[in-house]
Amino acid sequence: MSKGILVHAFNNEQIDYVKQAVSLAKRAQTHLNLPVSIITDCDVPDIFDNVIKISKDRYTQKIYNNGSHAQRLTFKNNSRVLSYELTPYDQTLMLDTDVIICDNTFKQCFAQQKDLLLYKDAYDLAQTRNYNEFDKISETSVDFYWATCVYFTKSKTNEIFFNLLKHIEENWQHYRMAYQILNQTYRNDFAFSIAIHIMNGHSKGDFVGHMPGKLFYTTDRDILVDINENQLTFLLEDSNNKYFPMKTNDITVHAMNKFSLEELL
Amino acid sequence: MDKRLKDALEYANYVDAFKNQKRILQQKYEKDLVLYWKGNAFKASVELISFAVNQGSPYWVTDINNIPCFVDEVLEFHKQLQETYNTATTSFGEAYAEMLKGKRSVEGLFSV
Repeated sequence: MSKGILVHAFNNEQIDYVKQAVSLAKRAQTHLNLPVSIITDCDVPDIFDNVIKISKDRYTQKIYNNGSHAQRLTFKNNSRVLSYELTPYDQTLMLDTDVIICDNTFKQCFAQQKDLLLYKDAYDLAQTRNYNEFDKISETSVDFYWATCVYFTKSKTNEIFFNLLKHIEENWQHYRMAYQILNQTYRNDFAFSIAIHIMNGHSKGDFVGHMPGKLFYTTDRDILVDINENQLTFLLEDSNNKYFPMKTNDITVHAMNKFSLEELL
Repeated sequence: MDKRLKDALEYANYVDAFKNQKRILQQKYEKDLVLYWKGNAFKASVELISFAVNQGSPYWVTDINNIPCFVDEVLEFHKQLQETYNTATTSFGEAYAEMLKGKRSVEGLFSV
């Protein structure tokens, strides 16, 4: 059974996702000893196991924060639904490029019994904020699952699941309204959450398993100020919009502020 | 600003930063306490270690996700639980001791 990591990297006007993917690939090699394949529409350095080039014609836009500064940029995020058919691996760990791997916890995915693993809960490093948006996909809707880190195997059930994801992505406005999502922007987290809800028989259930470890995250209003091997230093925003320092050691963090991440790579 | 108030505020900042760092250490500790064993995940708690050491023959146990697991290698399972607990707790203890060693200021805590 082949094993590997899959990343999607589509640059926009300001953010170099490929650069982040290169950093992720190096860290994956160090901590997980796994090959990394990339799905992209750009030319990439010769570090990846496979380069899968695709281009999609429907893109959206979203607000990207860099601390307290915000700007609207192109958001090319709708290729993830193709992961099942494009992955070269039997066992795939799909990661966002802004995940900073600092330990080997992800290795445990490949020994789990379930064919599909996602994080349902995540840990905000700041802890002073109340992010209800990560509990449910909207106030009156279904449980939120993170598409940041997804483990899947080649199986009949996962083929059905990813085909359903493609259907949801293609009919996003319908599903957005059916699931009472106010924001028009397509989000993979929402599409995965809706697909899981449907696969569970429009209910809560155990269709997906738990990813190993915890998903630690900082938002794009936080600032990553230093990366020293496996030690990360952040300035985190509290509920009063003031910043306080935080240092982590040997824990993998999803650092959503792509501007500050890129400055340090 | 009155020096007494300034000192108190500086100390309060340090206490706050210390509390936050300790919180992250605890989170890492909880992560490190998990033993992955044959597709299941177990928290290497003192209770489970005590339970495991008293088992003489293979047995069923549920993991942290409430998935049943049949432990056929009784001694090896206990050994790995013990090792996971020791490694995680030592790492937590050493990191905490390191935090106490530094200068009692935010700068000391972050080595700047």
